Amino acid sequence: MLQVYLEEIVLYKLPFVTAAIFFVGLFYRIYKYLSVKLRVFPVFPKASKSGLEKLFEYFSDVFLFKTIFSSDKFLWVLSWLFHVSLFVILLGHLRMFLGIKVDENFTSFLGMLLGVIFLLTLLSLLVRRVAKLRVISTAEDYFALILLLSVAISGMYLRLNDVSLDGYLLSLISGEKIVVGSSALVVHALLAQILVAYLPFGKLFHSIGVFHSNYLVRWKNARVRSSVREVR
Amino acid sequence: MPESAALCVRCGNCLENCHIYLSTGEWKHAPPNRLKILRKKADFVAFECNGCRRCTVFCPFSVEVSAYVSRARREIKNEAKALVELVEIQLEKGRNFEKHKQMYEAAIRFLEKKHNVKIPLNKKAEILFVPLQGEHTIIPAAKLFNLAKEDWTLSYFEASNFAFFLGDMELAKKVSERIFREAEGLNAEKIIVTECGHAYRVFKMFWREWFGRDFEILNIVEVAADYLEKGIVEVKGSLTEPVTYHDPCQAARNSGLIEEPRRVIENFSEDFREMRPNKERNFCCGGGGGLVAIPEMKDFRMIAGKKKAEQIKETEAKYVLTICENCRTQLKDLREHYNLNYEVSGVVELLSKFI
Repeated sequence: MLQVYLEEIVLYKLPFVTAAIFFVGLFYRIYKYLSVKLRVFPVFPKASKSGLEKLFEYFSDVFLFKTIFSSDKFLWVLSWLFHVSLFVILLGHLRMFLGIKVDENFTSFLGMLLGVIFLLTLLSLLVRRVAKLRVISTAEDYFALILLLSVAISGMYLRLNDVSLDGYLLSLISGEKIVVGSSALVVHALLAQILVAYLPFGKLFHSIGVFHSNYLVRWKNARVRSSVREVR
Repeated sequence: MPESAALCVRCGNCLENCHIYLSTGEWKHAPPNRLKILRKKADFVAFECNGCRRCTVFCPFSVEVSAYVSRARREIKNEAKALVELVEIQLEKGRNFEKHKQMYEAAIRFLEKKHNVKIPLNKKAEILFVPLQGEHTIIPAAKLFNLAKEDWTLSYFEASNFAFFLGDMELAKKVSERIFREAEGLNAEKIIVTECGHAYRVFKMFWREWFGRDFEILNIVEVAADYLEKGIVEVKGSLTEPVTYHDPCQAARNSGLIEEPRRVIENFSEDFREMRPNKERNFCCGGGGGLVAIPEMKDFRMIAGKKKAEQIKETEAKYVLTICENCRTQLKDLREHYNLNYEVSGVVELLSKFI
Protein backbone atom coordinates (compact mmCIF):
# COMPACT_ATOMS: atom_id res chain seq x y z
CA MET A 1 0.00 0.00 0.00
CA LEU A 2 2.72 2.41 1.03
CA GLN A 3 4.73 1.53 -2.06
CA VAL A 4 1.83 2.30 -4.36
CA TYR A 5 1.33 5.58 -2.58
CA LEU A 6 5.05 6.49 -2.86
CA GLU A 7 5.09 5.55 -6.53
CA GLU A 8 2.13 7.78 -7.19
CA ILE A 9 3.81 10.73 -5.47
CA VAL A 10 7.30 10.36 -6.89
CA LEU A 11 6.28 9.41 -10.41
CA TYR A 12 3.16 11.48 -11.02
CA LYS A 13 2.97 14.33 -8.49
CA LEU A 14 6.56 15.34 -7.82
CA PRO A 15 7.57 15.87 -11.49
CA PHE A 16 5.31 18.93 -11.65
CA VAL A 17 6.85 20.40 -8.53
CA THR A 18 10.32 19.64 -9.93
CA ALA A 19 9.51 21.26 -13.25
CA ALA A 20 8.14 24.34 -11.48
CA ILE A 21 11.25 24.65 -9.29
CA PHE A 22 13.47 24.16 -12.32
CA PHE A 23 11.91 26.84 -14.51
CA VAL A 24 11.25 29.41 -11.81
CA GLY A 25 14.73 28.77 -10.39
CA LEU A 26 16.32 29.11 -13.79
CA PHE A 27 14.66 32.46 -14.48
CA TYR A 28 15.60 33.72 -11.05
CA ARG A 29 19.19 32.55 -11.45
CA ILE A 30 19.64 34.04 -14.91
CA TYR A 31 18.18 37.31 -13.66
CA LYS A 32 20.57 37.32 -10.72
CA TYR A 33 23.51 36.38 -12.92
CA LEU A 34 22.86 39.21 -15.35
CA SER A 35 22.01 41.85 -12.76
CA VAL A 36 25.41 41.91 -11.03
CA LYS A 37 27.38 44.57 -12.83
CA LEU A 38 31.13 44.61 -12.82
CA ARG A 39 33.36 46.70 -15.01
CA VAL A 40 33.71 45.27 -18.49
CA PHE A 41 37.31 44.95 -19.56
CA PRO A 42 38.08 44.67 -23.23
CA VAL A 43 39.02 41.04 -23.45
CA PHE A 44 42.01 39.54 -25.22
CA PRO A 45 42.67 42.02 -27.99
CA LYS A 46 44.57 39.43 -29.96
CA ALA A 47 41.28 37.82 -30.84
CA SER A 48 40.23 40.50 -33.33
CA LYS A 49 38.96 38.36 -36.16
CA SER A 50 36.35 37.95 -38.85
CA GLY A 51 32.81 36.84 -38.03
CA LEU A 52 33.33 33.28 -39.24
CA GLU A 53 36.49 32.85 -37.19
CA LYS A 54 34.72 34.22 -34.14
CA LEU A 55 31.88 31.76 -34.68
CA PHE A 56 34.39 28.94 -34.94
CA GLU A 57 36.16 30.07 -31.76
CA TYR A 58 32.88 30.28 -29.93
CA PHE A 59 31.74 26.80 -30.84
CA SER A 60 35.12 25.17 -30.39
CA ASP A 61 35.23 26.55 -26.88
CA VAL A 62 31.66 25.74 -25.90
CA PHE A 63 31.50 22.28 -27.48
CA LEU A 64 35.11 21.13 -27.80
CA PHE A 65 36.55 22.70 -24.61
CA LYS A 66 39.47 24.26 -26.45
CA THR A 67 40.63 26.23 -23.42
CA ILE A 68 41.08 23.09 -21.34
CA PHE A 69 42.65 21.29 -24.29
CA SER A 70 45.30 23.96 -24.56
CA SER A 71 46.54 23.50 -21.01
CA ASP A 72 45.62 20.09 -19.60
CA LYS A 73 45.12 17.18 -22.02
CA PHE A 74 44.23 14.68 -19.30
CA LEU A 75 41.53 16.90 -17.87
CA TRP A 76 40.30 17.55 -21.38
CA VAL A 77 39.81 13.84 -22.15
CA LEU A 78 37.98 13.34 -18.86
CA SER A 79 35.75 16.37 -18.98
CA TRP A 80 34.95 16.15 -22.67
CA LEU A 81 33.95 12.47 -22.57
CA PHE A 82 32.04 13.17 -19.36
CA HIS A 83 29.99 15.99 -20.85
CA VAL A 84 29.41 14.38 -24.23
CA SER A 85 28.22 11.08 -22.76
CA LEU A 86 25.94 12.97 -20.37
CA PHE A 87 24.56 15.01 -23.24
CA VAL A 88 23.77 11.98 -25.41
CA ILE A 89 22.24 10.14 -22.45
CA LEU A 90 19.97 13.16 -21.89
CA LEU A 91 19.03 13.08 -25.59
CA GLY A 92 18.11 9.42 -25.10
CA HIS A 93 15.76 10.39 -22.28
CA LEU A 94 14.25 13.14 -24.40
CA ARG A 95 13.57 10.56 -27.11
CA MET A 96 11.59 8.50 -24.62
CA PHE A 97 9.57 11.53 -23.52
CA LEU A 98 8.60 12.18 -27.09
CA GLY A 99 7.95 8.50 -27.79
CA ILE A 100 10.31 8.26 -30.75
CA LYS A 101 11.01 4.62 -31.55
CA VAL A 102 14.60 3.60 -32.28
CA ASP A 103 16.00 0.10 -32.84
CA GLU A 104 16.26 -1.50 -29.41
CA ASN A 105 19.59 -3.25 -30.00
CA PHE A 106 21.09 0.07 -30.94
CA THR A 107 19.76 1.97 -27.94
CA SER A 108 20.77 -0.71 -25.47
CA PHE A 109 24.28 -0.88 -26.93
CA LEU A 110 24.72 2.89 -27.01
CA GLY A 111 23.12 3.34 -23.61
CA MET A 112 25.40 0.76 -22.07
CA LEU A 113 28.53 2.19 -23.68
CA LEU A 114 27.76 5.78 -22.73
CA GLY A 115 26.67 4.75 -19.26
CA VAL A 116 30.01 3.06 -18.67
CA ILE A 117 31.96 6.02 -20.08
CA PHE A 118 29.94 8.43 -17.97
CA LEU A 119 30.42 6.44 -14.78
CA LEU A 120 34.14 5.97 -15.33
CA THR A 121 34.86 9.61 -16.16
CA LEU A 122 32.67 10.74 -13.27
CA LEU A 123 34.59 8.53 -10.88
CA SER A 124 37.91 9.78 -12.27
CA LEU A 125 36.79 13.38 -11.80
CA LEU A 126 35.87 12.59 -8.22
CA VAL A 127 39.23 10.93 -7.59
CA ARG A 128 41.00 13.85 -9.24
CA ARG A 129 39.16 16.29 -7.01
CA VAL A 130 40.02 14.41 -3.85
CA ALA A 131 43.63 13.79 -4.84
CA LYS A 132 44.60 17.07 -6.49
CA LEU A 133 42.03 19.77 -5.90
CA ARG A 134 41.20 19.53 -2.23
CA VAL A 135 42.59 23.03 -1.70
CA ILE A 136 39.91 24.65 -3.87
CA SER A 137 37.05 22.16 -3.49
CA THR A 138 33.91 23.05 -1.57
CA ALA A 139 31.20 20.83 -0.08
CA GLU A 140 29.04 21.66 -3.06
CA ASP A 141 31.58 20.24 -5.49
CA TYR A 142 31.42 16.88 -3.75
CA PHE A 143 27.64 17.07 -3.42
CA ALA A 144 27.19 17.62 -7.15
CA LEU A 145 29.53 14.76 -8.05
CA ILE A 146 27.94 12.34 -5.62
CA LEU A 147 24.43 13.28 -6.72
CA LEU A 148 25.40 12.66 -10.35
CA LEU A 149 27.03 9.42 -9.32
CA SER A 150 23.89 8.20 -7.56
CA VAL A 151 21.73 9.07 -10.57
CA ALA A 152 24.17 7.30 -12.86
CA ILE A 153 24.37 4.16 -10.74
CA SER A 154 20.61 3.86 -10.38
CA GLY A 155 20.26 4.44 -14.13
CA MET A 156 22.85 1.78 -14.88
CA TYR A 157 20.97 -0.60 -12.61
CA LEU A 158 17.84 -0.10 -14.74
CA ARG A 159 19.82 -0.64 -17.91
CA LEU A 160 21.44 -3.85 -16.61
CA ASN A 161 18.10 -5.27 -15.45
CA ASP A 162 16.34 -4.31 -18.67
CA VAL A 163 13.84 -2.06 -16.92
CA SER A 164 12.49 0.21 -19.62
CA LEU A 165 11.74 3.87 -18.98
CA ASP A 166 9.89 4.36 -22.26
CA GLY A 167 6.38 3.72 -20.98
CA TYR A 168 6.72 5.87 -17.88
CA LEU A 169 8.31 8.92 -19.55
CA LEU A 170 5.76 8.81 -22.37
CA SER A 171 2.94 8.60 -19.84
CA LEU A 172 4.14 11.82 -18.21
CA ILE A 173 3.43 13.66 -21.44
CA SER A 174 0.31 11.79 -22.50
CA GLY A 175 -1.23 11.80 -19.00
CA GLU A 176 -2.24 8.13 -19.06
CA LYS A 177 -0.75 6.69 -15.89
CA ILE A 178 0.82 3.25 -15.99
CA VAL A 179 1.95 0.79 -13.32
CA VAL A 180 5.75 0.56 -13.50
CA GLY A 181 6.23 -2.17 -10.89
CA SER A 182 9.91 -1.41 -10.23
CA SER A 183 11.18 0.26 -7.12
CA ALA A 184 14.57 0.83 -8.79
CA LEU A 185 12.82 3.03 -11.32
CA VAL A 186 11.20 5.02 -8.54
CA VAL A 187 14.59 5.56 -6.91
CA HIS A 188 16.14 6.66 -10.21
CA ALA A 189 13.23 9.01 -10.87
CA LEU A 190 13.53 10.56 -7.42
CA LEU A 191 17.30 11.11 -7.66
CA ALA A 192 17.00 12.51 -11.16
CA GLN A 193 14.37 14.98 -10.00
CA ILE A 194 16.58 16.16 -7.17
CA LEU A 195 19.28 16.76 -9.79
CA VAL A 196 16.96 18.72 -12.07
CA ALA A 197 15.61 20.85 -9.24
CA TYR A 198 19.12 21.58 -7.99
CA LEU A 199 20.57 22.54 -11.38
CA PRO A 200 19.63 26.24 -11.48
CA PHE A 201 20.89 26.97 -7.99
CA GLY A 202 24.39 25.59 -7.75
CA LYS A 203 27.50 25.13 -9.81
CA LEU A 204 25.64 23.11 -12.44
CA PHE A 205 24.37 26.47 -13.68
CA HIS A 206 27.60 26.60 -15.67
CA SER A 207 25.86 24.42 -18.27
CA ILE A 208 23.69 27.44 -19.09
CA GLY A 209 26.15 30.23 -18.29
CA VAL A 210 28.90 28.88 -20.54
CA PHE A 211 26.97 30.01 -23.60
CA HIS A 212 26.83 33.56 -22.33
CA SER A 213 30.35 33.86 -20.93
CA ASN A 214 31.82 32.59 -24.17
CA TYR A 215 29.57 34.88 -26.13
CA LEU A 216 31.03 37.81 -24.21
CA VAL A 217 34.64 36.74 -24.60
CA ARG A 218 34.85 35.07 -28.00
CA TRP A 219 32.20 37.11 -29.72
CA LYS A 220 31.17 40.46 -28.29
CA ASN A 221 34.54 41.56 -26.98
CA ALA A 222 36.68 39.62 -29.43
CA ARG A 223 37.51 42.83 -31.21
CA VAL A 224 39.17 46.10 -30.44
CA ARG A 225 37.75 48.76 -32.65
CA SER A 226 39.95 51.25 -30.84
CA SER A 227 42.93 49.32 -32.09
CA VAL A 228 45.00 51.42 -34.39
CA ARG A 229 46.13 48.39 -36.29
CA GLU A 230 42.63 47.95 -37.62
CA VAL A 231 42.27 51.60 -38.55
CA ARG A 232 45.57 51.75 -40.32
CA MET B 1 29.99 41.83 -17.28
CA PRO B 2 27.60 39.75 -15.22
CA GLU B 3 28.46 37.70 -12.18
CA SER B 4 30.99 35.54 -14.01
CA ALA B 5 32.42 34.15 -10.77
CA ALA B 6 29.17 32.25 -10.35
CA LEU B 7 30.27 30.04 -13.24
CA CYS B 8 33.45 28.84 -11.56
CA VAL B 9 33.21 25.06 -11.20
CA ARG B 10 36.62 24.77 -9.52
CA CYS B 11 37.95 22.56 -12.30
CA GLY B 12 41.48 23.48 -11.29
CA ASN B 13 42.64 24.49 -14.75
CA CYS B 14 43.88 27.81 -13.41
CA LEU B 15 45.86 26.40 -10.48
CA GLU B 16 49.02 25.53 -12.40
CA ASN B 17 48.68 28.70 -14.41
CA CYS B 18 48.78 31.22 -11.59
CA HIS B 19 52.38 32.20 -10.83
CA ILE B 20 51.44 33.39 -7.35
CA TYR B 21 49.73 30.17 -6.33
CA LEU B 22 52.60 28.20 -7.88
CA SER B 23 55.17 29.99 -5.76
CA THR B 24 53.33 30.48 -2.47
CA GLY B 25 51.08 27.41 -2.46
CA GLU B 26 48.81 29.27 -0.07
CA TRP B 27 45.09 28.55 0.12
CA LYS B 28 44.04 32.15 -0.44
CA HIS B 29 46.17 32.55 -3.56
CA ALA B 30 44.46 29.83 -5.59
CA PRO B 31 42.32 31.81 -8.06
CA PRO B 32 39.01 30.09 -7.15
CA ASN B 33 39.62 30.84 -3.47
CA ARG B 34 40.63 34.40 -4.28
CA LEU B 35 37.26 34.76 -6.01
CA LYS B 36 35.45 33.23 -3.06
CA ILE B 37 37.04 35.76 -0.71
CA LEU B 38 36.63 38.82 -2.94
CA ARG B 39 33.01 38.11 -3.83
CA LYS B 40 32.15 38.43 -0.15
CA LYS B 41 34.39 41.24 1.05
CA ALA B 42 37.26 43.46 0.00
CA ASP B 43 40.28 41.71 1.44
CA PHE B 44 43.97 42.58 1.26
CA VAL B 45 44.41 39.49 -0.91
CA ALA B 46 43.36 41.84 -3.74
CA PHE B 47 46.77 43.48 -3.44
CA GLU B 48 48.45 40.10 -3.49
CA CYS B 49 47.49 39.64 -7.13
CA ASN B 50 49.25 41.09 -10.16
CA GLY B 51 46.05 41.33 -12.16
CA CYS B 52 47.90 39.67 -15.02
CA ARG B 53 44.73 37.86 -16.19
CA ARG B 54 46.56 34.68 -17.01
CA CYS B 55 43.98 32.64 -15.07
CA THR B 56 41.23 34.20 -17.18
CA VAL B 57 42.97 33.01 -20.34
CA PHE B 58 42.98 29.44 -19.06
CA CYS B 59 39.47 29.52 -17.59
CA PRO B 60 36.83 27.64 -19.61
CA PHE B 61 34.35 30.36 -18.59
CA SER B 62 36.83 33.24 -18.79
CA VAL B 63 35.98 34.25 -15.24
CA GLU B 64 37.39 37.77 -14.88
CA VAL B 65 39.25 37.51 -11.57
CA SER B 66 40.84 40.91 -12.16
CA ALA B 67 37.41 42.58 -12.15
CA TYR B 68 36.85 41.34 -8.60
CA VAL B 69 40.38 42.35 -7.67
CA SER B 70 39.77 45.87 -9.02
CA ARG B 71 36.48 46.21 -7.19
CA ALA B 72 38.06 45.12 -3.91
CA ARG B 73 41.08 47.39 -4.38
CA ARG B 74 38.88 50.41 -4.88
CA GLU B 75 37.13 49.72 -1.61
CA ILE B 76 40.30 49.30 0.44
CA LYS B 77 42.61 51.58 -1.48
CA ASN B 78 43.92 53.21 1.68
CA GLU B 79 45.71 49.99 2.51
CA ALA B 80 48.05 50.85 -0.35
CA LYS B 81 49.10 54.28 0.88
CA ALA B 82 52.01 54.56 -1.53
CA LEU B 83 49.72 54.29 -4.55
CA VAL B 84 47.21 56.79 -3.15
CA GLU B 85 50.02 59.29 -2.59
CA LEU B 86 51.36 58.79 -6.10
CA VAL B 87 47.91 59.50 -7.55
CA GLU B 88 47.75 62.67 -5.47
CA ILE B 89 51.14 63.79 -6.83
CA GLN B 90 49.95 63.11 -10.38
CA LEU B 91 46.76 65.13 -9.92
CA GLU B 92 48.67 67.93 -8.19
CA LYS B 93 50.82 68.38 -11.31
CA GLY B 94 47.64 69.09 -13.23
CA ARG B 95 46.27 71.51 -10.64
CA ASN B 96 49.51 73.44 -10.13
CA PHE B 97 50.53 73.27 -13.73
CA GLU B 98 52.54 76.53 -13.95
CA LYS B 99 54.87 75.53 -11.15
CA HIS B 100 55.32 72.02 -12.54
CA LYS B 101 55.89 73.44 -16.03
CA GLN B 102 58.87 75.57 -15.00
CA MET B 103 60.63 72.75 -13.23
CA TYR B 104 59.93 70.31 -16.03
CA GLU B 105 61.19 72.63 -18.74
CA ALA B 106 64.41 73.22 -16.86
CA ALA B 107 64.95 69.49 -16.52
CA ILE B 108 64.30 68.85 -20.21
CA ARG B 109 66.66 71.65 -21.31
CA PHE B 110 69.32 70.06 -19.12
CA LEU B 111 68.72 66.69 -20.82
CA GLU B 112 68.93 68.32 -24.24
CA LYS B 113 72.39 69.69 -23.45
CA LYS B 114 73.60 66.53 -21.77
CA HIS B 115 72.71 64.22 -24.68
CA ASN B 116 72.84 66.75 -27.47
CA VAL B 117 69.37 65.94 -28.78
CA LYS B 118 66.58 68.31 -29.61
CA ILE B 119 63.46 67.79 -27.51
CA PRO B 120 60.53 69.97 -28.57
CA LEU B 121 58.22 71.10 -25.78
CA ASN B 122 54.93 72.95 -25.82
CA LYS B 123 54.73 72.95 -29.60
CA LYS B 124 51.72 72.25 -31.80
CA ALA B 125 52.63 68.95 -33.44
CA GLU B 126 51.24 65.86 -35.06
CA ILE B 127 52.72 63.51 -32.47
CA LEU B 128 52.47 63.83 -28.71
CA PHE B 129 55.04 61.60 -27.05
CA VAL B 130 54.19 60.63 -23.47
CA PRO B 131 57.26 59.49 -21.49
CA LEU B 132 57.83 58.32 -17.95
CA GLN B 133 60.04 59.91 -15.33
CA GLY B 134 63.63 59.08 -16.19
CA GLU B 135 65.74 59.97 -19.18
CA HIS B 136 65.93 56.39 -20.47
CA THR B 137 62.31 56.78 -21.55
CA ILE B 138 62.89 60.11 -23.29
CA ILE B 139 66.29 60.13 -24.99
CA PRO B 140 66.03 56.96 -27.15
CA ALA B 141 62.61 58.03 -28.40
CA ALA B 142 63.81 61.57 -29.11
CA LYS B 143 66.68 60.17 -31.17
CA LEU B 144 64.28 58.03 -33.20
CA PHE B 145 61.83 60.85 -33.84
CA ASN B 146 64.58 63.25 -34.87
CA LEU B 147 66.10 60.68 -37.22
CA ALA B 148 62.71 60.18 -38.86
CA LYS B 149 62.22 63.98 -38.93
CA GLU B 150 58.84 63.64 -37.23
CA ASP B 151 56.71 66.57 -36.18
CA TRP B 152 56.59 65.73 -32.49
CA THR B 153 56.47 67.20 -29.04
CA LEU B 154 57.05 65.91 -25.53
CA SER B 155 54.22 65.68 -23.02
CA TYR B 156 54.46 67.51 -19.71
CA PHE B 157 53.00 64.52 -17.94
CA GLU B 158 54.17 60.98 -17.35
CA ALA B 159 52.26 58.15 -18.99
CA SER B 160 51.76 56.05 -15.87
CA ASN B 161 48.36 55.98 -14.22
CA PHE B 162 48.56 54.87 -10.62
CA ALA B 163 44.82 55.21 -10.07
CA PHE B 164 44.37 52.35 -12.54
CA PHE B 165 46.20 50.09 -10.08
CA LEU B 166 43.73 51.11 -7.38
CA GLY B 167 40.86 49.84 -9.52
CA ASP B 168 39.33 53.30 -9.33
CA MET B 169 38.33 54.05 -12.91
CA GLU B 170 36.83 57.45 -12.13
CA LEU B 171 40.11 58.56 -10.64
CA ALA B 172 42.08 56.92 -13.45
CA LYS B 173 40.05 58.95 -15.92
CA LYS B 174 40.92 62.13 -14.05
CA VAL B 175 44.62 61.29 -14.20
CA SER B 176 44.36 60.59 -17.93
CA GLU B 177 42.32 63.70 -18.54
CA ARG B 178 45.39 65.92 -18.00
CA ILE B 179 47.06 64.33 -20.99
CA PHE B 180 43.86 64.32 -23.00
CA ARG B 181 43.47 68.09 -22.59
CA GLU B 182 47.13 68.60 -23.44
CA ALA B 183 46.76 66.52 -26.62
CA GLU B 184 43.69 68.47 -27.66
CA GLY B 185 45.40 71.77 -26.95
CA LEU B 186 48.36 70.81 -29.12
CA ASN B 187 46.17 69.52 -31.96
CA ALA B 188 47.95 66.17 -31.76
CA GLU B 189 46.66 63.31 -33.89
CA LYS B 190 48.88 60.51 -32.70
CA ILE B 191 49.75 59.73 -29.14
CA ILE B 192 52.87 57.67 -28.77
CA VAL B 193 53.38 56.05 -25.41
CA THR B 194 56.75 55.10 -24.05
CA GLU B 195 57.66 51.59 -22.92
CA CYS B 196 55.13 51.14 -20.16
CA GLY B 197 52.67 48.27 -19.99
CA HIS B 198 49.71 49.55 -18.02
CA ALA B 199 49.95 53.05 -19.48
CA TYR B 200 49.74 51.65 -22.99
CA ARG B 201 46.72 49.60 -21.99
CA VAL B 202 44.99 52.59 -20.44
CA PHE B 203 45.58 54.72 -23.54
CA LYS B 204 44.68 52.06 -26.01
CA MET B 205 41.85 50.20 -24.34
CA PHE B 206 40.15 52.87 -22.23
CA TRP B 207 40.62 56.31 -23.77
CA ARG B 208 38.07 55.91 -26.50
CA GLU B 209 35.42 54.90 -24.02
CA TRP B 210 36.35 57.67 -21.57
CA PHE B 211 36.80 60.62 -23.90
CA GLY B 212 34.91 59.55 -27.01
CA ARG B 213 37.69 60.55 -29.34
CA ASP B 214 39.89 58.43 -31.54
CA PHE B 215 43.50 59.39 -31.19
CA GLU B 216 45.86 57.06 -32.94
CA ILE B 217 47.51 55.35 -30.00
CA LEU B 218 50.90 53.76 -30.59
CA ASN B 219 53.66 52.38 -28.47
CA ILE B 220 57.21 53.55 -29.16
CA VAL B 221 58.09 49.93 -30.01
CA GLU B 222 55.48 49.85 -32.75
CA VAL B 223 56.93 53.06 -34.12
CA ALA B 224 60.47 51.68 -33.98
CA ALA B 225 59.39 48.50 -35.78
CA ASP B 226 57.79 50.63 -38.45
CA TYR B 227 60.92 52.80 -38.90
CA LEU B 228 63.12 49.72 -39.19
CA GLU B 229 60.86 48.15 -41.76
CA LYS B 230 60.76 51.28 -43.88
CA GLY B 231 64.51 51.77 -43.59
CA ILE B 232 64.15 55.13 -41.87
CA VAL B 233 66.35 53.86 -39.10
CA GLU B 234 69.27 51.58 -39.79
CA VAL B 235 70.96 49.30 -37.33
CA LYS B 236 74.73 49.30 -37.12
CA GLY B 237 76.35 46.31 -35.49
CA SER B 238 74.64 43.63 -33.47
CA LEU B 239 74.52 41.86 -30.16
CA THR B 240 76.02 38.37 -30.08
CA GLU B 241 75.08 37.52 -26.51
CA PRO B 242 71.83 35.60 -25.90
CA VAL B 243 68.80 37.87 -25.58
CA THR B 244 65.35 37.05 -24.29
CA TYR B 245 62.17 39.08 -24.23
CA HIS B 246 59.69 39.27 -21.37
CA ASP B 247 56.11 39.98 -22.50
CA PRO B 248 54.55 42.40 -20.02
CA CYS B 249 51.03 41.19 -19.24
CA GLN B 250 49.47 44.58 -19.79
CA ALA B 251 51.14 45.09 -23.16
CA ALA B 252 50.91 41.56 -24.58
CA ARG B 253 47.99 39.68 -23.09
CA ASN B 254 45.87 42.71 -22.31
CA SER B 255 46.59 45.07 -25.20
CA GLY B 256 47.79 42.80 -28.00
CA LEU B 257 51.31 44.20 -28.43
CA ILE B 258 53.17 40.98 -29.18
CA GLU B 259 55.01 40.77 -32.50
CA GLU B 260 56.38 44.32 -32.80
CA PRO B 261 58.95 44.12 -30.00
CA ARG B 262 60.22 40.83 -31.42
CA ARG B 263 60.61 42.37 -34.84
CA VAL B 264 62.71 45.17 -33.35
CA ILE B 265 64.88 42.80 -31.33
CA GLU B 266 65.62 40.60 -34.32
CA ASN B 267 67.18 43.61 -36.01
CA PHE B 268 70.04 43.86 -33.55
CA SER B 269 70.23 40.47 -31.87
CA GLU B 270 71.89 37.41 -33.35
CA ASP B 271 70.83 35.06 -30.59
CA PHE B 272 67.23 35.69 -29.63
CA ARG B 273 65.68 33.12 -27.31
CA GLU B 274 62.02 32.82 -26.39
CA MET B 275 60.91 32.02 -22.86
CA ARG B 276 58.44 29.17 -22.51
CA PRO B 277 55.54 29.86 -22.36
CA ASN B 278 55.55 33.23 -24.09
CA LYS B 279 53.47 35.89 -25.85
CA GLU B 280 49.91 36.16 -24.52
CA ARG B 281 50.52 33.10 -22.34
CA ASN B 282 53.63 34.49 -20.70
CA PHE B 283 53.97 34.35 -16.94
CA CYS B 284 53.81 37.66 -15.10
CA CYS B 285 57.08 38.88 -13.58
CA GLY B 286 55.38 39.22 -10.20
CA GLY B 287 55.68 43.00 -10.04
CA GLY B 288 52.55 43.92 -12.00
CA GLY B 289 49.38 45.53 -10.73
CA GLY B 290 51.31 48.35 -9.08
CA LEU B 291 53.05 46.11 -6.56
CA VAL B 292 56.41 47.57 -7.58
CA ALA B 293 55.23 50.96 -6.32
CA ILE B 294 54.21 49.67 -2.88
CA PRO B 295 57.37 49.36 -0.75
CA GLU B 296 55.82 46.92 1.76
CA MET B 297 55.18 44.44 -1.03
CA LYS B 298 58.85 43.88 -1.87
CA ASP B 299 59.13 40.51 -0.10
CA PHE B 300 55.90 39.29 -1.63
CA ARG B 301 57.06 40.38 -5.07
CA MET B 302 60.23 38.34 -4.75
CA ILE B 303 58.25 35.21 -3.94
CA ALA B 304 55.74 35.90 -6.71
CA GLY B 305 58.56 36.26 -9.23
CA LYS B 306 59.97 32.79 -8.65
CA LYS B 307 58.41 31.38 -11.82
CA LYS B 308 59.80 34.24 -13.89
CA ALA B 309 63.28 33.78 -12.43
CA GLU B 310 63.16 30.09 -13.40
CA GLN B 311 62.01 30.95 -16.91
CA ILE B 312 64.84 33.41 -17.41
CA LYS B 313 67.40 30.99 -16.01
CA GLU B 314 66.30 28.36 -18.52
CA THR B 315 67.01 30.62 -21.48
CA GLU B 316 70.52 31.42 -20.16
CA ALA B 317 70.07 34.88 -21.64
CA LYS B 318 72.49 37.67 -20.82
CA TYR B 319 69.99 40.37 -21.78
CA VAL B 320 66.39 40.40 -20.64
CA LEU B 321 64.44 42.96 -22.61
CA THR B 322 60.96 44.19 -21.87
CA ILE B 323 58.74 47.16 -22.61
CA CYS B 324 57.38 47.90 -19.15
CA GLU B 325 58.81 50.01 -16.37
CA ASN B 326 57.19 47.87 -13.68
CA CYS B 327 58.67 44.71 -15.16
CA ARG B 328 62.11 46.33 -15.44
CA THR B 329 62.24 47.16 -11.77
CA GLN B 330 60.97 43.73 -10.85
CA LEU B 331 63.40 41.93 -13.19
CA LYS B 332 66.31 43.83 -11.67
CA ASP B 333 65.15 42.99 -8.15
CA LEU B 334 64.71 39.33 -9.12
CA ARG B 335 68.26 39.25 -10.44
CA GLU B 336 69.62 40.25 -7.03
CA HIS B 337 67.22 38.06 -5.08
CA TYR B 338 67.81 34.87 -7.09
CA ASN B 339 71.50 35.52 -7.81
CA LEU B 340 71.06 35.57 -11.56
CA ASN B 341 73.29 37.27 -14.05
CA TYR B 342 71.69 39.33 -16.78
CA GLU B 343 71.22 42.88 -17.98
CA VAL B 344 67.76 44.42 -18.01
CA SER B 345 66.90 46.93 -20.68
CA GLY B 346 64.06 48.38 -22.66
CA VAL B 347 63.77 47.30 -26.29
CA VAL B 348 63.97 50.78 -27.80
CA GLU B 349 66.58 51.82 -25.27
CA LEU B 350 68.87 49.02 -26.44
CA LEU B 351 68.02 49.68 -30.07
CA SER B 352 69.14 53.29 -29.68
CA LYS B 353 72.65 52.06 -28.90
CA PHE B 354 72.88 50.50 -32.36
CA ILE B 355 71.78 53.46 -34.46
